[in-house]
Amino acid sequence: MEPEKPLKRESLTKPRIVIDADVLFAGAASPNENSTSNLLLRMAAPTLIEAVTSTQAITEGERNMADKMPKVLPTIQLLVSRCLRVVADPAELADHTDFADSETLPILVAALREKCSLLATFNVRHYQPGQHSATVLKPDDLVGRVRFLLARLSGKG
Amino acid sequence: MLRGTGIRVQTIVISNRECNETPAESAAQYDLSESLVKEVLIYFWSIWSGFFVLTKVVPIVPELARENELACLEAGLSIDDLLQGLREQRQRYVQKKYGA
Repeated sequence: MEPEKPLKRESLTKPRIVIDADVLFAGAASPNENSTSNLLLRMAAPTLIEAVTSTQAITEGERNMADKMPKVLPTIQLLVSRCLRVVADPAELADHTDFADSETLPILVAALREKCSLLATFNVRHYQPGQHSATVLKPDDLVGRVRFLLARLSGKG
Repeated sequence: MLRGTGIRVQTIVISNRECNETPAESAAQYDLSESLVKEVLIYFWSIWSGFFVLTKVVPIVPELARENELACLEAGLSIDDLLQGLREQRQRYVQKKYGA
Protein backbone atom coordinates (compact mmCIF):
# COMPACT_ATOMS: atom_id res chain seq x y z
CA MET A 1 0.00 0.00 0.00
CA GLU A 2 1.47 3.35 -1.03
CA PRO A 3 1.97 5.92 1.72
CA GLU A 4 -0.55 8.76 1.72
CA LYS A 5 0.81 11.77 -0.17
CA PRO A 6 0.99 14.90 1.96
CA LEU A 7 -1.57 17.54 1.04
CA LYS A 8 -0.27 20.63 -0.79
CA ARG A 9 0.12 23.65 1.41
CA GLU A 10 -2.42 25.74 -0.47
CA SER A 11 -5.07 23.10 0.03
CA LEU A 12 -4.43 23.16 3.77
CA THR A 13 -5.42 26.80 4.20
CA LYS A 14 -8.79 27.35 5.79
CA PRO A 15 -11.44 28.56 3.33
CA ARG A 16 -11.47 32.31 2.79
CA ILE A 17 -14.97 33.43 1.81
CA VAL A 18 -16.56 36.76 0.92
CA ILE A 19 -20.00 37.13 2.49
CA ASP A 20 -22.31 39.36 0.46
CA ALA A 21 -24.77 41.70 2.19
CA ASP A 22 -27.83 39.55 1.52
CA VAL A 23 -26.27 36.46 3.11
CA LEU A 24 -24.95 38.45 6.05
CA PHE A 25 -28.29 40.02 6.91
CA ALA A 26 -30.28 36.84 6.26
CA GLY A 27 -27.94 34.93 8.55
CA ALA A 28 -28.03 37.67 11.18
CA ALA A 29 -31.80 37.32 11.53
CA SER A 30 -32.20 33.54 11.11
CA PRO A 31 -31.25 31.58 14.22
CA ASN A 32 -32.73 28.43 12.64
CA GLU A 33 -30.09 25.66 12.61
CA ASN A 34 -31.13 24.85 9.05
CA SER A 35 -30.29 28.34 7.83
CA THR A 36 -27.10 27.99 5.82
CA SER A 37 -26.58 31.76 5.95
CA ASN A 38 -26.56 31.56 9.72
CA LEU A 39 -24.32 28.49 9.58
CA LEU A 40 -21.69 30.43 7.64
CA LEU A 41 -21.64 33.09 10.37
CA ARG A 42 -21.45 30.40 13.05
CA MET A 43 -18.44 28.89 11.33
CA ALA A 44 -16.87 32.31 10.90
CA ALA A 45 -17.11 33.31 14.58
CA PRO A 46 -14.60 30.68 15.83
CA THR A 47 -12.64 31.14 12.58
CA LEU A 48 -13.32 27.72 11.13
CA ILE A 49 -13.59 29.74 7.95
CA GLU A 50 -12.12 33.15 7.25
CA ALA A 51 -15.11 35.34 6.44
CA VAL A 52 -14.57 38.62 4.67
CA THR A 53 -16.90 41.34 3.50
CA SER A 54 -16.41 44.74 1.95
CA THR A 55 -17.23 48.25 3.09
CA GLN A 56 -19.80 48.41 0.29
CA ALA A 57 -21.71 45.35 1.51
CA ILE A 58 -21.72 46.57 5.11
CA THR A 59 -22.72 50.11 4.24
CA GLU A 60 -25.58 49.19 1.94
CA GLY A 61 -26.85 46.64 4.43
CA GLU A 62 -26.68 49.06 7.35
CA ARG A 63 -28.47 51.75 5.38
CA ASN A 64 -31.19 49.29 4.46
CA MET A 65 -31.59 48.20 8.09
CA ALA A 66 -31.55 51.82 9.28
CA ASP A 67 -34.59 52.40 7.09
CA LYS A 68 -36.48 49.28 8.14
CA MET A 69 -35.28 48.14 11.58
CA PRO A 70 -32.86 50.59 13.20
CA LYS A 71 -33.34 48.73 16.49
CA VAL A 72 -31.27 45.73 15.31
CA LEU A 73 -28.34 47.76 13.95
CA PRO A 74 -26.20 47.42 17.11
CA THR A 75 -26.54 43.62 17.15
CA ILE A 76 -25.79 43.44 13.43
CA GLN A 77 -22.67 45.53 13.98
CA LEU A 78 -21.63 43.27 16.86
CA LEU A 79 -22.08 40.20 14.67
CA VAL A 80 -19.97 41.78 11.96
CA SER A 81 -17.20 42.63 14.41
CA ARG A 82 -17.15 39.05 15.74
CA CYS A 83 -17.49 37.15 12.48
CA LEU A 84 -16.12 39.14 9.60
CA ARG A 85 -13.07 41.00 8.42
CA VAL A 86 -14.22 44.14 6.62
CA VAL A 87 -12.01 45.16 3.72
CA ALA A 88 -11.88 48.38 1.75
CA ASP A 89 -13.72 48.74 -1.54
CA PRO A 90 -11.47 48.50 -4.59
CA ALA A 91 -10.23 51.85 -5.89
CA GLU A 92 -10.27 50.81 -9.53
CA LEU A 93 -12.55 48.56 -11.51
CA ALA A 94 -11.40 49.27 -15.04
CA ASP A 95 -9.47 46.02 -15.51
CA HIS A 96 -12.37 43.84 -14.40
CA THR A 97 -15.48 45.30 -16.01
CA ASP A 98 -16.26 42.10 -17.93
CA PHE A 99 -16.53 39.96 -14.80
CA ALA A 100 -19.91 40.96 -13.37
CA ASP A 101 -22.73 43.50 -13.29
CA SER A 102 -21.51 47.01 -12.53
CA GLU A 103 -23.19 47.01 -9.11
CA THR A 104 -21.76 43.71 -7.89
CA LEU A 105 -18.37 44.13 -9.57
CA PRO A 106 -16.73 45.95 -6.63
CA ILE A 107 -17.62 43.05 -4.32
CA LEU A 108 -16.11 40.52 -6.74
CA VAL A 109 -12.98 42.60 -7.30
CA ALA A 110 -12.53 42.88 -3.52
CA ALA A 111 -12.81 39.07 -3.33
CA LEU A 112 -10.10 38.67 -5.96
CA ARG A 113 -7.84 41.21 -4.29
CA GLU A 114 -8.19 39.43 -0.92
CA LYS A 115 -7.57 36.06 -2.58
CA CYS A 116 -10.93 34.68 -1.52
CA SER A 117 -11.69 31.49 -3.39
CA LEU A 118 -15.40 31.56 -2.55
CA LEU A 119 -18.15 34.18 -2.47
CA ALA A 120 -21.53 33.61 -0.79
CA THR A 121 -24.57 35.39 -2.21
CA PHE A 122 -28.20 34.73 -3.08
CA ASN A 123 -27.65 36.89 -6.14
CA VAL A 124 -25.46 34.55 -8.20
CA ARG A 125 -26.73 35.72 -11.59
CA HIS A 126 -25.44 39.28 -11.06
CA TYR A 127 -21.94 37.89 -10.60
CA GLN A 128 -21.84 36.33 -14.05
CA PRO A 129 -19.73 35.54 -16.01
CA GLY A 130 -17.48 35.71 -12.95
CA GLN A 131 -13.78 34.96 -12.64
CA HIS A 132 -12.30 31.53 -12.10
CA SER A 133 -10.31 32.51 -9.00
CA ALA A 134 -13.47 33.16 -6.99
CA THR A 135 -16.37 30.73 -7.15
CA VAL A 136 -19.73 32.40 -6.53
CA LEU A 137 -22.29 30.19 -4.82
CA LYS A 138 -25.53 30.37 -2.89
CA PRO A 139 -25.13 29.55 0.81
CA ASP A 140 -26.62 26.04 0.46
CA ASP A 141 -24.08 25.08 -2.19
CA LEU A 142 -21.22 26.87 -0.51
CA VAL A 143 -21.68 25.09 2.82
CA GLY A 144 -21.24 21.76 1.07
CA ARG A 145 -18.02 23.00 -0.50
CA VAL A 146 -16.75 24.28 2.86
CA ARG A 147 -17.46 20.94 4.55
CA PHE A 148 -15.37 19.20 1.90
CA LEU A 149 -12.50 21.66 2.36
CA LEU A 150 -12.56 21.37 6.15
CA ALA A 151 -12.60 17.57 5.89
CA ARG A 152 -9.43 17.80 3.79
CA LEU A 153 -7.81 19.94 6.46
CA SER A 154 -8.39 17.21 9.02
CA GLY A 155 -6.87 14.64 6.67
CA LYS A 156 -10.10 12.79 6.05
CA GLY A 157 -10.86 14.23 2.64
CA MET B 1 0.39 23.34 24.61
CA LEU B 2 -3.27 22.48 25.05
CA ARG B 3 -4.34 24.28 28.19
CA GLY B 4 -5.07 22.02 31.10
CA THR B 5 -3.77 18.87 29.44
CA GLY B 6 0.02 19.10 29.31
CA ILE B 7 -0.12 17.81 25.74
CA ARG B 8 1.65 19.65 22.97
CA VAL B 9 0.00 20.45 19.66
CA GLN B 10 3.05 18.93 17.99
CA THR B 11 2.32 15.61 19.68
CA ILE B 12 -1.17 15.48 18.16
CA VAL B 13 0.07 16.52 14.71
CA ILE B 14 2.90 13.97 14.68
CA SER B 15 0.54 11.22 15.81
CA ASN B 16 -1.76 12.10 12.94
CA ARG B 17 0.73 12.64 10.14
CA GLU B 18 3.66 10.41 11.01
CA CYS B 19 1.99 7.58 12.90
CA ASN B 20 -1.17 7.67 10.78
CA GLU B 21 -3.39 7.79 13.83
CA THR B 22 -6.98 8.84 13.27
CA PRO B 23 -8.37 11.66 15.45
CA ALA B 24 -10.33 9.03 17.38
CA GLU B 25 -7.17 7.03 18.11
CA SER B 26 -5.27 10.14 19.21
CA ALA B 27 -8.18 11.16 21.40
CA ALA B 28 -8.19 7.78 23.11
CA GLN B 29 -4.44 7.72 23.54
CA TYR B 30 -4.18 11.18 25.10
CA ASP B 31 -7.52 11.21 26.89
CA LEU B 32 -8.92 14.07 24.82
CA SER B 33 -12.22 14.49 23.04
CA GLU B 34 -12.20 13.59 19.36
CA SER B 35 -13.67 17.00 18.49
CA LEU B 36 -10.75 18.71 20.25
CA VAL B 37 -8.21 16.62 18.35
CA LYS B 38 -9.89 17.53 15.05
CA GLU B 39 -9.91 21.22 15.97
CA VAL B 40 -6.21 21.03 16.82
CA LEU B 41 -5.40 19.51 13.44
CA ILE B 42 -7.47 22.07 11.55
CA TYR B 43 -5.93 24.99 13.42
CA PHE B 44 -2.41 23.64 13.07
CA TRP B 45 -2.61 23.26 9.34
CA SER B 46 -4.10 26.71 8.98
CA ILE B 47 -1.57 28.43 11.19
CA TRP B 48 1.50 26.21 10.53
CA SER B 49 3.68 27.35 13.32
CA GLY B 50 3.81 29.00 16.72
CA PHE B 51 1.66 28.14 19.64
CA PHE B 52 -1.93 28.93 20.46
CA VAL B 53 -4.22 28.53 23.39
CA LEU B 54 -7.57 26.84 23.08
CA THR B 55 -10.28 28.32 25.23
CA LYS B 56 -13.95 27.64 25.43
CA VAL B 57 -15.86 30.03 23.19
CA VAL B 58 -19.46 30.85 23.96
CA PRO B 59 -21.27 30.98 20.61
CA ILE B 60 -22.56 34.47 20.04
CA VAL B 61 -24.13 34.13 16.62
CA PRO B 62 -27.20 32.08 17.61
CA GLU B 63 -28.01 34.43 20.48
CA LEU B 64 -27.71 37.60 18.41
CA ALA B 65 -29.63 36.09 15.52
CA ARG B 66 -32.40 35.12 17.91
CA GLU B 67 -32.58 38.69 19.22
CA ASN B 68 -32.80 40.02 15.68
CA GLU B 69 -35.45 37.50 14.72
CA LEU B 70 -37.60 38.48 17.70
CA ALA B 71 -37.24 42.15 16.84
CA CYS B 72 -38.31 41.42 13.27
CA LEU B 73 -41.31 39.38 14.42
CA GLU B 74 -42.41 42.21 16.70
CA ALA B 75 -42.16 44.60 13.79
CA GLY B 76 -44.02 42.21 11.50
CA LEU B 77 -41.11 41.95 9.08
CA SER B 78 -39.83 38.80 7.34
CA ILE B 79 -36.32 38.08 6.05
CA ASP B 80 -37.54 38.89 2.56
CA ASP B 81 -38.84 42.24 3.81
CA LEU B 82 -35.43 42.97 5.33
CA LEU B 83 -33.55 42.07 2.16
CA GLN B 84 -35.84 44.01 -0.09
CA GLY B 85 -34.26 47.36 -0.64
CA LEU B 86 -30.70 46.01 -0.63
CA ARG B 87 -30.57 46.20 -4.40
CA GLU B 88 -31.62 49.85 -4.43
CA GLN B 89 -29.04 50.65 -1.75
CA ARG B 90 -26.40 48.89 -3.84
CA GLN B 91 -27.30 50.86 -6.94
CA ARG B 92 -27.09 54.15 -5.05
CA TYR B 93 -23.79 53.23 -3.39
CA VAL B 94 -22.07 52.19 -6.60
CA GLN B 95 -23.42 55.18 -8.52
CA LYS B 96 -22.09 57.57 -5.89
CA LYS B 97 -18.70 55.88 -5.45
CA TYR B 98 -17.89 54.77 -8.98
CA GLY B 99 -20.29 56.75 -11.11
CA ALA B 100 -21.40 53.44 -12.64
